[in-house]
Amino acid sequence: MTAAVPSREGPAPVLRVEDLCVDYFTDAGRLRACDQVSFELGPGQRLGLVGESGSGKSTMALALMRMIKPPGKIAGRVFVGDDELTSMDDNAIRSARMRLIGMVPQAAMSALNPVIRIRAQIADVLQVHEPAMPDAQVKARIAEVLEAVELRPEVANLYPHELSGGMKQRVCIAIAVALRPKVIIADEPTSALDVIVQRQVMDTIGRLQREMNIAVILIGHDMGLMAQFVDRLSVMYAGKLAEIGPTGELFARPTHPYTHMLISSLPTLGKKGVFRGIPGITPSLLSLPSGCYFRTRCPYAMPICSEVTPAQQAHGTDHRSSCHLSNVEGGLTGRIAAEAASVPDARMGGFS
Amino acid sequence: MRLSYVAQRVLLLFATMWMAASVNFVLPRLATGRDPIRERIIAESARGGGATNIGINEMIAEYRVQFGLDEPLPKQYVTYLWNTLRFDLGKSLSNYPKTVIGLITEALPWTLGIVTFSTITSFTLGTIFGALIAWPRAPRVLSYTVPILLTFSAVPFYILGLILIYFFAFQLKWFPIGGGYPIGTIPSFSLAFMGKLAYHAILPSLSMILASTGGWALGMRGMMVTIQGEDYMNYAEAKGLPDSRIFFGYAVRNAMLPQTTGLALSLGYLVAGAGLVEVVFGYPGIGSLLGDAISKFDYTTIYGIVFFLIVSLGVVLFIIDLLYPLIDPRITYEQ
Repeated sequence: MTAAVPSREGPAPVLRVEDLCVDYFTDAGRLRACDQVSFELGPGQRLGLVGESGSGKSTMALALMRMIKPPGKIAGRVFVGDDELTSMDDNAIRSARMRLIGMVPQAAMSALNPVIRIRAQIADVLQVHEPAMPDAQVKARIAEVLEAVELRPEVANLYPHELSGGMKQRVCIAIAVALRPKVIIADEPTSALDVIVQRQVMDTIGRLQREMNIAVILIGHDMGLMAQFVDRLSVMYAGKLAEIGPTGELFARPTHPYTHMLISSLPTLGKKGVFRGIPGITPSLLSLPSGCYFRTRCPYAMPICSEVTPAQQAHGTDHRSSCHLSNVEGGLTGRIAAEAASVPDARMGGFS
Repeated sequence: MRLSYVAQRVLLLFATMWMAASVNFVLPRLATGRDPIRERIIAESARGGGATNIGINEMIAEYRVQFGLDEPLPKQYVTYLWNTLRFDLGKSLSNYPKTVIGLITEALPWTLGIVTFSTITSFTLGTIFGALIAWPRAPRVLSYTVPILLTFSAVPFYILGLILIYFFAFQLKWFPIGGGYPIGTIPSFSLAFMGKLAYHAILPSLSMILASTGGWALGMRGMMVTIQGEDYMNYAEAKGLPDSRIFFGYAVRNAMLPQTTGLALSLGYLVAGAGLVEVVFGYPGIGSLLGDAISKFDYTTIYGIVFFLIVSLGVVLFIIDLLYPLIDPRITYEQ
């Protein structure tokens, strides 16, 4: 509205990732599991992160909390507000975890310590990060966060094995919001739950996210879930950010063939026919193809794709992707239209 | 629920004891063609130089009556069970007329003393050591101790005992060669005598501690390594917990569970565990008693000790069973 607004999209981002790289030095050579990933996340924004298994989603999540273990190495910068995480000393990064960046773990079923009561597992986060908090307040906060995730306060007295999968996931969410961090990374928070519970858990995450104005990074494979839940969507392939942009725009006008194929692999009620997948598998990070990593599976690959690594290009204000097709007349949309015109049943290709 | 669980466990304990007693009863009687009384009397009379066999059959008959062997088997069995229930394990054959239970109660404190001490010490040392070896943030130097621990745990403790005796008792004369206390002193509860007891207990305890610490350490190390791959370990780190908290509250706490089971089992064998060590060191415990009984074919004492071992193992496991839910909440009293 006015010139006082600091950046193009409004308030300053709560999370800014710049050229984040994760390298593993193995006997077989260097392996880059996360390759120059950069993005920003505004306060209260929901960012989706999708990609196949092994595409580097969880590695990136761990790198954001600086939890990559040797022989892995992190490079690049991660800002939460004004705090830069990758250069912090060990004590500082420890106190940043859960306080600045919260995490809802991938395996909630086994993420809780089996021999300790729920109360103690929530309390230890509070006690470590807020040592001055009196016991009575810790107790009150535990009841409060349990209520926030729609669990009875008595759940605090139970052991993890006495809870259902959905309840365990809710406890993990309660722990993640207990200190009201600015960002929460939810790494496939619903992968082990059935659809009903999945929906309820996502509703809870969404409600808390709105109430507390926490930015959320939701990691997953489920494009349908993403379409419903996130404001912006990013697609990872072989450790690189293939495309990032507003969810609606990405679904309507994908500019990377991989994004397009992920979207068209979604079954829809309207279009019945043979289910269409993406042929091939993610390349091994130890033997990546030259040029664009996706070219071996890309139906639109051109000669230039094997020679030059595509640079990231902006499409509008908040939409970026790295594909050579962006420089071709008509872009990806043109190719798709041309293909649809020549082969009427291209959508029915099926698995190959 | 809890009461019925305890009742069930008590019943099981008695069933175990009954079965052990029955096996004890049946086993020697399966050895047909051998008559321990006849064999013994003939051996005794031969040793005495008596060439005549006059009266031997009468003597045998007399002893058979005394041991109750003239009764029909079912009656013998019932009498035997009743006696066992009253902890009357009969009279020793080689130390006649001492009772077996008397011999056991004489030997028991010796064994319990050194074995309890060595077991607890080696368990504590080994567990702490194993936990630290497996911890990535612990000093690297510790990992060099693994081969040493392995070596010690591979050497049986009675051989380790012989080596210790040779160097520290025979060559250096730092410690006594054997026995539970100096010959010529009378056991009492005086401080001076206690000091002598401890002095005599050092080598046998040391041989057991050296031999078993490695095993405990390796077991703990294995569990710690496994547990570090668990999701809750990663999550604990994501929670921003300090290292010490993750180490004790998460890693050690969970890795301890199988260790505790192991400790329970080895406490059950407490009475039997020191057998050969006691023989090597001439220590007046259950092991020496059993070794002595075996070498003298003292059937009643052998069976008495074996039965006693089974009962003590059963009792210890019973107690551990009741305590286990306290350390692992996933184990409950309910079925």
